[in-house]
Amino acid sequence: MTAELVPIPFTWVLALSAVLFAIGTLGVMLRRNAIAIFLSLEVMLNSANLAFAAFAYRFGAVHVAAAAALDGQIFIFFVIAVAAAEATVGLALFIALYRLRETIDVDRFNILRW
Amino acid sequence: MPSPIHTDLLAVAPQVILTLAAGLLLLIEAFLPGLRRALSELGMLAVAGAAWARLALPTPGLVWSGTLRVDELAAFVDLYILAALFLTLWMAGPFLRRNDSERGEFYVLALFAAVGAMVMASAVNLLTVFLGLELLSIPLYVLNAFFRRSVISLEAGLKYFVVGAFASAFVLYGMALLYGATASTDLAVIVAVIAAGAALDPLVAIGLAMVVAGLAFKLAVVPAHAWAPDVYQGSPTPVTAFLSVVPKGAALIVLLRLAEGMDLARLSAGWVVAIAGMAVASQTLGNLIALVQRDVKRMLAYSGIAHMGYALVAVLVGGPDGASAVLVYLVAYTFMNMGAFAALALLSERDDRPHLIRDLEGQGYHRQLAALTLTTCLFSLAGMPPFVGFTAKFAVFRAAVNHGFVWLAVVGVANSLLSAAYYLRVIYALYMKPLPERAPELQPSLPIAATATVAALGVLALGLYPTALLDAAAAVITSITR
Repeated sequence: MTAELVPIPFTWVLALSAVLFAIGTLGVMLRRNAIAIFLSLEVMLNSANLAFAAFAYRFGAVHVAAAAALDGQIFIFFVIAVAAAEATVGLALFIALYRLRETIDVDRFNILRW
Repeated sequence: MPSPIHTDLLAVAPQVILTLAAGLLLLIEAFLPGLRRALSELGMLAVAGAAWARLALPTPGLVWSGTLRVDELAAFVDLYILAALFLTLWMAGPFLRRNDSERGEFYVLALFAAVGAMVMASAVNLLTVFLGLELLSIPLYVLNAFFRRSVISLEAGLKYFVVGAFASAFVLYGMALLYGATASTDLAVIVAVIAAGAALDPLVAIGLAMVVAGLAFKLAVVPAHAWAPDVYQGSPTPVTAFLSVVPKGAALIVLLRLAEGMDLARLSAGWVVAIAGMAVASQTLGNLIALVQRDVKRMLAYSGIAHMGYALVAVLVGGPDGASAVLVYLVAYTFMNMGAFAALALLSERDDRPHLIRDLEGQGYHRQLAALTLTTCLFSLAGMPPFVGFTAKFAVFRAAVNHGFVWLAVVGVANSLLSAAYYLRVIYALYMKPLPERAPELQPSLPIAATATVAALGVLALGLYPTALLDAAAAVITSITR
């Protein structure tokens, strides 16, 4: 017989989302390759999605807040669409830059400075 | 009780008109090459239609299941966004032709960005705030990089994209935390929970701080200002003009809606210190670094950082006069900035070269209209009477003094004096220096000249008759707080 399934505690999910957000933030600040920066941005957006999912999961378990669970879940779908739009624009920008300079290392784009 | 669908649709008629027009412009660009030269004018026509719809139709309040609040405040901000969009489109056509980059996407993207800003202006739900923010930002990333053969334009696009997406992620994560703490995405509910004493709940405090930090990126206030000079300098001048007023206005209105319900100044001492610190640092740092700039667009970027510092003071002091001072400031700032950038577009040969102050030497007698409009806008930005910049600063500092923030008013006035130095440096170059031997011959452009003139006349008219603007802003704030 298998053991009874124990639901994952909500705080674990929230903690995971916070860790992912921190990883994404560090990635944007430390990585120099534009694609890596872009991946980190996506990690940040999706960590927020995970936080929404975690809270919705908790509200869904409480009877009085069950309607609130829906708000968070709907939010996630919109964020997915927005992230896709952002991906399109970001990647198009990187391709345009690569065509001009044959590199997407952000340290090489420093004509503008004070 | 949800409102009927026709009320919902009529409430967002201006946004609908702009969206449909943008789709139509895309089709014209693709299938009717003969009409391509008229895209800028068609866009302006759509903007005029949207403005008419906003003026003629009622403002019903909460619509779309309570996610948008189309009230007097939203209508006021919509009109200001439409004015900025109109001026941008007006100067964009000849500007793009002069730089051999006329493509219809420009107008389409500008219309979409304006729709995003207008959604933000009436958004009262975290979801609509976020969607408006993204609809505003994503087209702007493309517009910054519109000169795709120019490295500096692409670099500006890349920087704005990375910083903007980073800020959006912050806003989004902050929203997730606020949702978790309050079990709602409705701003009114969230504000009520916070006002009822949840301000010190760590989830609320962190969430609110992240949302405010993300909006601070859009406002380009210290410490989230570093992108502004690069992006301002690298972007095509009409885009810079649009970018310098519309996203800032939309972000300020979201802050205002948040602050108004919470009574920020009395919420907790920490928030007052944080926002006052941001305001003072923006003013001081912006003005000091602007003093040593050689490029006019970079100088205006730092000047913009300082100006948002003044506007933050008005947000912080709150109350009806603080809120109406924010609106006055936005309108004033729009006219001054649009005029300054349009005049700069008139005075510069090609956009992918730096716009050095040195290159403006002697132009005061050579290109008189452009120099005169630039001078008007710069005097106004410096806050000198009788221009509208003085009215705006007066409204802000009066509100600060009335609410007991005398020291913020003193810092602001000192900063205004400091800022006069770098604005006057440009005017000195325009009128007190001889025209260089090899002055570039510029093609005169009627639409750009008209844009600059209209903006400069706006600066002068609103400065000479300030009561019209002050009363309108006060009436808007009274109507929403009633």
